[in-house]
Amino acid sequence: MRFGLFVIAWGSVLGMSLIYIVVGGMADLAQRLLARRRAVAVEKISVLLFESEDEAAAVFEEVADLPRRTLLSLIQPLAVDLDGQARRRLQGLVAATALQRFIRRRAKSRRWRKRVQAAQLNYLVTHPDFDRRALLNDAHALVRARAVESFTAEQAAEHVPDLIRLLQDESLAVRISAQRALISAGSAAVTELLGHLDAGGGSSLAALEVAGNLSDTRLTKAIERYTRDSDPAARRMACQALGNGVGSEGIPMLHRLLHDDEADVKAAAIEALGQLGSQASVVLIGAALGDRAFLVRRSAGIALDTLGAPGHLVLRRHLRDPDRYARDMARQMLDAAAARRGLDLVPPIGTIEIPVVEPVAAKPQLVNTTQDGSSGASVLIAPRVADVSDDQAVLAAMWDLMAPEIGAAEPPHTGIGEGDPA
Amino acid sequence: MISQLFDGIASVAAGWVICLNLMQLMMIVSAMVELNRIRQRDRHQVWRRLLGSELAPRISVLVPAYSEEISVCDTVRGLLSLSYPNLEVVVINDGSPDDTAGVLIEAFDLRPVHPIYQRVVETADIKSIYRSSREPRLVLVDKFNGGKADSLNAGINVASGELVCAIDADTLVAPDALQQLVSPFITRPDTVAVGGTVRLTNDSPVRGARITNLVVPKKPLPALQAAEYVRAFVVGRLAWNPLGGNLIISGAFGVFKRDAVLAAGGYEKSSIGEDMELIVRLRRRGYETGQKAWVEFLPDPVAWTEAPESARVLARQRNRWQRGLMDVLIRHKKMIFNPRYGSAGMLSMPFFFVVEFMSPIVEAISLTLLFVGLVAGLVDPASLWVLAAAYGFGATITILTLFFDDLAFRSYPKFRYRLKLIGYAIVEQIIYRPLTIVWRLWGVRLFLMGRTEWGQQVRKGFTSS
Repeated sequence: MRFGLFVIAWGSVLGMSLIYIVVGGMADLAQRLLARRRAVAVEKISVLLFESEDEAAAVFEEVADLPRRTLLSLIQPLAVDLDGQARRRLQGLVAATALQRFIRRRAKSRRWRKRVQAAQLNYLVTHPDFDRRALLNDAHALVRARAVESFTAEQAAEHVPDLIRLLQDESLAVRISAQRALISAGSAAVTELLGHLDAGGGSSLAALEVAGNLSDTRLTKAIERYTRDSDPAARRMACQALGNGVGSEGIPMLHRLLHDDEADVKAAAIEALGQLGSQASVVLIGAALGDRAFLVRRSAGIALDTLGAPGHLVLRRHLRDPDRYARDMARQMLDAAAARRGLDLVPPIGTIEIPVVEPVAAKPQLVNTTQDGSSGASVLIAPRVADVSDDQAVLAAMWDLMAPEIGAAEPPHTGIGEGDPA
Repeated sequence: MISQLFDGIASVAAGWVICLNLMQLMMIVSAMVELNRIRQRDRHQVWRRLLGSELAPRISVLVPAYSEEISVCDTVRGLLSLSYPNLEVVVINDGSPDDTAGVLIEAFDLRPVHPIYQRVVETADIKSIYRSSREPRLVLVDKFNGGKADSLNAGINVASGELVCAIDADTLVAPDALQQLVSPFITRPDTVAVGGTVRLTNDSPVRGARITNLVVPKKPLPALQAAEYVRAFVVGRLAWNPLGGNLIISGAFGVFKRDAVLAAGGYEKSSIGEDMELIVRLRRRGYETGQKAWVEFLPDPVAWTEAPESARVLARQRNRWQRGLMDVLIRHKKMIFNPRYGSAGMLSMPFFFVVEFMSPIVEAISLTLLFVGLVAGLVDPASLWVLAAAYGFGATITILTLFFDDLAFRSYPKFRYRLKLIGYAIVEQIIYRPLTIVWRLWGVRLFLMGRTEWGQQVRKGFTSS
């Protein structure tokens, strides 16, 4: 009995070893054969899709004769990323082979894995009876996501109401795919989106994100409404939407949101100003370097760094800020910028003489200055939103403030650290 | 009477090993089911494309380095060449006695910046922070020695990413590994940590901080560990996903939600097994606060690391692992068999207690008594057949695991590698397994003596192709 157990155990070692070696070896062989076959097929398909008409025509028959499984496995990952001539040729290939019928049949399959395949290739089907909406309403989230993801811009434009409905889908994958499809639909999505934003509801945040990416001025008013929303998440998303570029119209709204009660919203407003390249906002953003919330301070530092020379001037001024946190953040950002450019660090505190700056009377009221009793340095504090109106004037005023400090004659232009003595 | 007692002990020893093997077999089945589920899910994933954009969540890769001057530059180059679009690499030099900081400063033209950061978790003092003029994504934190957990905490303080990836300084990461590791954070909002597979680089050629051809290590000790790593990662970790989540994310390669780690107080400095301790604490906190904390293991993202090549270093590593395990089990003993902690309390923790902690003790006692009994003529020599059968089943399980790994991941797809691995699977049972028992018992002893030091790891560096 005991010896029998021993024989069974070591017999199983032998058996398992044989299976491992034989099946493993067969898998190696199969993989090598498959790889060779795929390499030949890939070569032919790439000629068909990307070479001249004559060369494509020459390989068309060969590609059409490839086994359906090989053909599908190759075009499936490619299909979504193709456009223009390559897409037309692929559609031609699908129409000429039995693939079109195959995809339509798969779309009606009871097995979701087959429907996913159909969803992924649905844009290749040109048959008028093909029901794309059925894929968008599929019970399985992956089918819906794949169907939406594979839409061309034209197909997305045709299905805008469906896509807007899918912004409320329970699956995150579907929601994100719907957002991307709506963005690709471009201006065709604006009217429906406006209606949806006006109506409000659960998917407003996702819609706002889309609105921000569409950069269409027709949406500015709708986004503006959300900057006054009671939900901080909506206000934050509105900031992001404004930052994604509905033009300079959004800047006054963002200035207002710099005084929001929520740190998240303030940080998003600052980031948006940075993204919009609003150099006129540098002083306002600089004031946020001393905010109580680290998130806001960091966003302010990053935004000032992004805004180039004017931002760097403000950062330098804040090296003398009596607020330790503002000072630290300014120093950190300037250090990072200096390291990026391979420069030495900004000189430590005490080596730069920053003169006391009087308020500029003739220019727009850019800043209020206050006297730091201990060091004699002036400190910039936030101006009122209404005071910032004309970008050029604000920049000129700011330059007047900064020029004596850095001893430069000409205003800076663009680029990180230009006009920066470091 | 005594003879019957000793025969009983022999049966217990064999029964124990057979039970362990049966458990391993169940885990292989669980791992197969889970792998199938993950492959089906990822086959239709849209995340890979979405994660190619700059909008992907920012990851700060934390590389704690102590005496790593040989391999740290390769590791950093590898990390900076990852395809992840929103990346920051934070190397933390933990007061290394060698020139770890120096080689990095020279290789990447690092310059000191003012050490300003949010000190959310207390750490040893930071001497200076460096940034690179050539590579803005790289940050070097030079600090006083405080241990690996302390370094990771310093890295978390300095990091700007919403996710942090902890890796060892001798680890190379596959180009798309981070994209894959981030996926669960997007699909499951309650995810707090995700781990990937770690494989061994010993003797595998490296070009441009990438493994060009994974080979079975030439020396026996690393080769034995290669088989062991396959069993531990491909089966051991993967099997726990459907059984309620993992308790270990390897310190060599894992991604964490930074906020969750900070809320839990960061890595525990006084713990020897800081990686396991953090995961257990995150999960425990999740149960206690009612906020789910999901920990997932993904088999496809791979990192490669160097295994100890000398028995002395390996012994130190294993006894440290054992001490780490004991430390975690004692700290969180409240969780064991406590239904309040769900699957972690009723499945994972008891498993670690019974199988991982008790196993070397039970095996050592049983084997010692068995051989004493044999020498004294109190045990029937035929009992050895049973023991040999138990080890035979163990070897079968290891070969089955290698076979599973071969078909699923094609890690060592050559005839001679398979032959070698089969040989090592058999040798492992006869020589390596008793050795690991001795090392782990040594760990138990040191733990009871209150020894908490790490011991030094000797690095050889990667093999250039």
